[in-house]
Amino acid sequence: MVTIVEIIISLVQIFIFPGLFFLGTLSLTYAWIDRKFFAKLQNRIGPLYTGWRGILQPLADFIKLLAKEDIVPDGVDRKMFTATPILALSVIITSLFFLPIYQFSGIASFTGDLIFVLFLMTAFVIIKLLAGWFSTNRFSLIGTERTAIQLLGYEIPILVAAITPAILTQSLTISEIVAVQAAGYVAGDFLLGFTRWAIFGPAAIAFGIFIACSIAELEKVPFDIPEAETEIVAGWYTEFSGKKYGMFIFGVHLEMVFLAGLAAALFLGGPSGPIPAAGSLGVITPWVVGLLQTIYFIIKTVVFVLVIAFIRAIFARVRIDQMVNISWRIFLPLALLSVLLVLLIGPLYLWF
Amino acid sequence: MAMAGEVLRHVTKKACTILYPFEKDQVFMPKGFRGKQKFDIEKCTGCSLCARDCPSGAITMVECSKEVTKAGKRPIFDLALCLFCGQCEESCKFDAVVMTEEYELAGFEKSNMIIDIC
Repeated sequence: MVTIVEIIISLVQIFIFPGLFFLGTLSLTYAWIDRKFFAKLQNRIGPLYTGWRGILQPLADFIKLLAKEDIVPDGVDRKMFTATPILALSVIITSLFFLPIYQFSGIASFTGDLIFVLFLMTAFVIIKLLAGWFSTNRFSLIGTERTAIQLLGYEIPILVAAITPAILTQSLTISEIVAVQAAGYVAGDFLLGFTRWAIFGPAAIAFGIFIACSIAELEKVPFDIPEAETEIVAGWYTEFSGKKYGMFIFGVHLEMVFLAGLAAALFLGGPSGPIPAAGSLGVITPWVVGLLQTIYFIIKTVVFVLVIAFIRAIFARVRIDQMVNISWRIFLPLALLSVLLVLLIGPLYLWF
Repeated sequence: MAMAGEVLRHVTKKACTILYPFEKDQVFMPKGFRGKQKFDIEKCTGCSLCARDCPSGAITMVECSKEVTKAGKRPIFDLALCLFCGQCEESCKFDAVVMTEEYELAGFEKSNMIIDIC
């Protein structure tokens, strides 16, 4: 029997923390961090005037997009054209609910949810394909085709790289993967608890593949060929303007949080970190533990965002044929190699 | 990857951007910069070579008394039409027109753009 308190707690979890409001704020903050760090790397300043050091700039951009005119081209299928941004946003928010943020399992969790989350990640990209297709614009079509080719290329390596910690920890449930990696900290080992994280085991190569394929998924330089501004206007989202465009941009920011959170959960032990034992600080309430774990989650995801911004700053855009070359001849063999390593060395890791 | 070291060094150094409207003292124009014209009526003889040579027709000659200029005409400059090419400065044999380094010339009305001295 579900009590009213449980319903209220669920509603707070879904809408406020760690739900829509928290994730939205986090995604806009990460967008700001990305822009500021990217600017600093390029010897310039970045956003400066909106709010403290420009922290409200992504929010200002979002509000501006909501207020712009929403132009629907003549020959499009109106229902699908309007539906694709909404679908994209809902898919990415759904997948965000499975990430562990303040405890070892997300708001929603069931056995084998890693496969579901990876499927939702693929579905998000397929919806981008639909968006480009239903725009009935030849530039969007070229962008869509490039997105499709890129998707084919990096989807297998990223799935294999995401499954590698699952093989290592012998579980397909995100909460269990995090729990196995956090076992060191749970047992009270402050200094060396992090050595149980998958990245320090044989899954290190898989972490590199995951980062590289995340950049391809987020369509950032060097893999931003689908939205190459200098070539095809804006690729698959050329025809979207106003609220629809705002929803896509917000979805892309949320996807950054999602991929960062997934990398943290699978490879960096999720929200685990040194937590004072129950007796040392008087009464350690679950609130303090939750807060500390949220801070660790934020630190890990910010590191991910900074790494992606750094890679954006030093590389140029690859051509689509170079992209296909890289994904099939470099990423895929490396991903399979990491699976081989995990199968061979994995049992040793578990034994420790 | 060759840029990685240099790019990371930028994080610790101050940005090379000048916050222009608030930090104007760091903005300086190089020698020979062609900005707003400075017109010296004492040196002008009213020969109208500047008005004839101006490629965009930004200089028009207006009547004035023979005490002011020898030919009884003096130029007025319309900054809205001016290209800042410096031809007037080169054409003037008496060094009456000099291009200064003033560059903040934006305005809201076309009537504010006309330099009409005396």
